[in-house]
Amino acid sequence: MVGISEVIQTLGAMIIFSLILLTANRMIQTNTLKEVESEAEGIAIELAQSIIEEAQTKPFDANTVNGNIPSQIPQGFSSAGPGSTGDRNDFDDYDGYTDSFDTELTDPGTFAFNVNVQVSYVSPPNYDMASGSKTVPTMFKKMVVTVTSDYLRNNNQDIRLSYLRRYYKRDN
Amino acid sequence: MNTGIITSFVVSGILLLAILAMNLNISQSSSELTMRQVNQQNVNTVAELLSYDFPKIGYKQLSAINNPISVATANRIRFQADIDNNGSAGVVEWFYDTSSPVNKGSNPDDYILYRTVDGNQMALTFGVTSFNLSYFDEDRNAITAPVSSSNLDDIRFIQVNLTMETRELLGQRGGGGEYITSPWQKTFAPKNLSN
Repeated sequence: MVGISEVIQTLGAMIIFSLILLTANRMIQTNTLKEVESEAEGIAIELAQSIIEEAQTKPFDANTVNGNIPSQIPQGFSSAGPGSTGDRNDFDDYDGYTDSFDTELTDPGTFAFNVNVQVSYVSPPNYDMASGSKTVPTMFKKMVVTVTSDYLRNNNQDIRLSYLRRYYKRDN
Repeated sequence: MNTGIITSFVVSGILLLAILAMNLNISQSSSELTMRQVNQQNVNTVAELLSYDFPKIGYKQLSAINNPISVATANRIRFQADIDNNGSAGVVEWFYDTSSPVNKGSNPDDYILYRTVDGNQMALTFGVTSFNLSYFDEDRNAITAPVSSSNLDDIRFIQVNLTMETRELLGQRGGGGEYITSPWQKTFAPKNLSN
């Protein structure tokens, strides 16, 4: 049949073009996802930093509030954990603190960013939380702030910031 | 003309239209990406300035500054800080002036954000559409803005909510469009405000 080869060629072109179109669409979608994800990462980092900065302004331990100094250091420090009143009066009162946040990126009321804080005593040389303790005091407390969000979940990714604090006292 | 050639002409026509649509889509996506990146860069610029100034509230190289905050409203804060680390306290003010629209671009919602250090004013006209300050005491209780002079000493944390939009509309097929929005939020805990 005359002209059948033109139809076949056009159909071939169409198939090739469809593949190009699919790739282009995938690229556009990936770009958009990455845009949103990078903004979400920025927001998550700011949230985590805000909590760390807030905790930095608090005394090292419940027994050093109001400038008190335990008679024995570090044995005189209290166990790490939330305070009995639920207030965050010292650094380790943030242990177990969780909260959810709305941001301008998300719809109001969705509370898309979830924060979880852990504080433990840690020891040199690794200062890692896994071998840390809530009850055996040392001179070092470590805070790990984890922010999770559906907006970060594409790569199953959490934002995790940690802060190591050392107790020191000034000799008068 | 035979049927095969007519069919291939029709199919090629459809193909050309599809290529045109794809080209428009890619162009639209590219424009959005570029505008978002520029907007994000502008947000980072303002955020860097804020992050440079706010943690230094009440800081002075060799001695503390008593009562460093003198004005604290939802769109204005004035405080003392040794910004240059030269031993002398300067006066720093951030003010979002909603009576001064930015006359660049088509966005009707952006206003000028002023940063003033010792009388030297810098106008930030990058497309700030919202700048809101909230204040908290040491127990994280909100202090209503504007903060009265008797409560200025209670401020321990300052939350900044900033939204910036592109100056120009990102057009869409079929008319209309949107301004690209980038939010930024941070709670500052200036060390020199704590007891």
